[in-house]
Amino acid sequence: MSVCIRCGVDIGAEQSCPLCGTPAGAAPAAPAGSAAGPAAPVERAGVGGAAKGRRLLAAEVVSFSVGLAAATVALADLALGGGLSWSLYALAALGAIWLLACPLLLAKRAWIGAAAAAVAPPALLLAIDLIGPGRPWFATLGLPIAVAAELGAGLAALASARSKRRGLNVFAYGLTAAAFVSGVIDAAVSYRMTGGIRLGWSVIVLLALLPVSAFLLYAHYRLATNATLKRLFHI
Amino acid sequence: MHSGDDRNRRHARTDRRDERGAWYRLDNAAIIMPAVTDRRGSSLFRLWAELDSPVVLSALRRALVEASARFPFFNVELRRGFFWYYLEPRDEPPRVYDDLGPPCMAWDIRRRGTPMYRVRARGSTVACEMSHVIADGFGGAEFFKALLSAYARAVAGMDERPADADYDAEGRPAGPARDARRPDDPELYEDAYHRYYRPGIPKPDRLPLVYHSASRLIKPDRYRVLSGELDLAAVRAAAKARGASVTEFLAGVYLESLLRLREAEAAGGAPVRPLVSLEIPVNLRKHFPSRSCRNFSLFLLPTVDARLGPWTLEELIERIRLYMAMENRPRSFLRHLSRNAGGGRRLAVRLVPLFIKNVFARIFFYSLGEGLITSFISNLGPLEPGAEAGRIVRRVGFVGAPSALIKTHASVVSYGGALTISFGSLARSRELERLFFSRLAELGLRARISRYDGG
Repeated sequence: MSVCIRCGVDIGAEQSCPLCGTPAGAAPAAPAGSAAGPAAPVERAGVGGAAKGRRLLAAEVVSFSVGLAAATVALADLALGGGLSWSLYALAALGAIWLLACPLLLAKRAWIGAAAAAVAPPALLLAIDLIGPGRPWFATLGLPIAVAAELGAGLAALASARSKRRGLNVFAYGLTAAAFVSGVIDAAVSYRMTGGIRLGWSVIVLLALLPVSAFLLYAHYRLATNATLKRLFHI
Repeated sequence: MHSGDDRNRRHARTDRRDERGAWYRLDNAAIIMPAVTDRRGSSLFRLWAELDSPVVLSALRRALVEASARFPFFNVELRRGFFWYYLEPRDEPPRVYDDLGPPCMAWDIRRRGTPMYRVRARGSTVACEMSHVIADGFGGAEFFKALLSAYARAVAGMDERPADADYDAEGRPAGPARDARRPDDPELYEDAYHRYYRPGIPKPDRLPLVYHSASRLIKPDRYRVLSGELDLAAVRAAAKARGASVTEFLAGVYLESLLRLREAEAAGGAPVRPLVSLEIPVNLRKHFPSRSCRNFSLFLLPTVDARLGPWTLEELIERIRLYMAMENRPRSFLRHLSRNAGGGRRLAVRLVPLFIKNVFARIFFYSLGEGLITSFISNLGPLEPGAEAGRIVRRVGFVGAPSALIKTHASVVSYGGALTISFGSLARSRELERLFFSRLAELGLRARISRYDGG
């Protein structure tokens, strides 16, 4: 009788344990993995610290560059125009760029960084609306479109990221997001122009994109496998 | 035109056939499980047996082939349909795995190709971890008993048969056992909920959300199992002295421990709900005859309100005993059974795409399931693996599937003269287990404690 030194089971005349792979009669080794799957990833010394250093350096470069550009633009406007006028647009854009870089600055607080980056486009639109002359348009036009675009892109990215197998399904998520954003743009523009929500061209876009998207998902998840239609569509 | 019984029989059949062979529908209790399964809530429960000598691997492999041939409807994998999940027989025969990792974890049943159960071995311990998608504790125990029995026979016959004659070069079963998946008796895998469905039964009353332990969770992919072995006769005597069954007695002690835990958390300033409820699963086969090894259980839910003042153990046991006497009846279960089975029969529900069903499944799992349950104590009863296996099995254990909301729960099984209570827990705190076993010790029932987390 030969007993595995890790599992403790009788492995008969086997050269190594068929369960854990430990050679028969070998000294105990570090666990290679459980029955359930591969062993938990081990922390590799130094790798985490190097990545953090790179992130911090990138954040520093972005912040310094944005700050330098902002100072240059503002000083130029002050010197040549006697006050801040056109430079406000540039400063707003630079602010948005810096916000977009927040995920780099807040690598440890990913959600805060992502939230800051998400705020950047609406914030830029708001700034342009406030700086520019004429009837305000941010609340009725800029905000809904920006939020819809971010929401659509975010959900599509999330769905893709969570997919175990990526292929046609990624296109399907993208098309669905585009259909959603089209609907919001159409609704926002019609509300801005007529005071009511009337969907026009976006309905055609929806009718064109959603069936394609559904077919792509179907093809990805179903046709690529061997399952029969009876199984797939049993109710 | 079908009569009601014909319709019930048709709905109860889980097996289907098409050009690629057999496949199975999920039973009524299982349909919600894939949607709520995640990294922590693996849906696997575990039965294990400690043998009198180290596991002989070749014998266990042979026993697994034999048991699998008797229960071919368990050797399946989960697949997604457009409207429902379904179970597809696996091309690969079942394997024996090592038992070095944490119990019931790191086994994603939703991943393609993953078997719905696994048999593990370590030292002199054989364990079977099975997903609730294919069976409840009864079905799992039937399989496990068949496995142990086959193993005992294989060990006894080892000297007469070449040890690995039934295996190919890669250690996979060869010969007829490889194709032994033809179901013989559909009742073994029937959806008995549908068999006993009755239309026109009122829905069960709505229940309130209850207290859940505030303890922080342990790391993902970990699951703590802490077992206490007690003398069965002593537990029976203690229960009898209080006019209760063993389940009622243990449930009373457990409910008292939960109340103490809640009291301690409330004293610490944590916001806690006032109601404490204890789920007691009931094997419906006792009320509605069926040989099904799929899920066929419902639960009773004795609940106490902590705002009504301190409860003594005697009061709790009496409350549970009276509650069980009233509710542990076919009529009571018919309400739950008919609601659950009836919902799945509606065409409007059946035609909802699976991804939408999954969203609602998670909501219902909380609002009609775990949100109403502080913890559970599941008594499997005696596990008798037969005379042959009885000679080599020293002790057995049983622990329920992990749950991130309930966190800690208890499972009970008896074998020989011993009763084993196993706590499965995802909580960092072990206070509940301590309260329970120390209370039993106060009552003169000292448990022999052992723990297992795969470390």
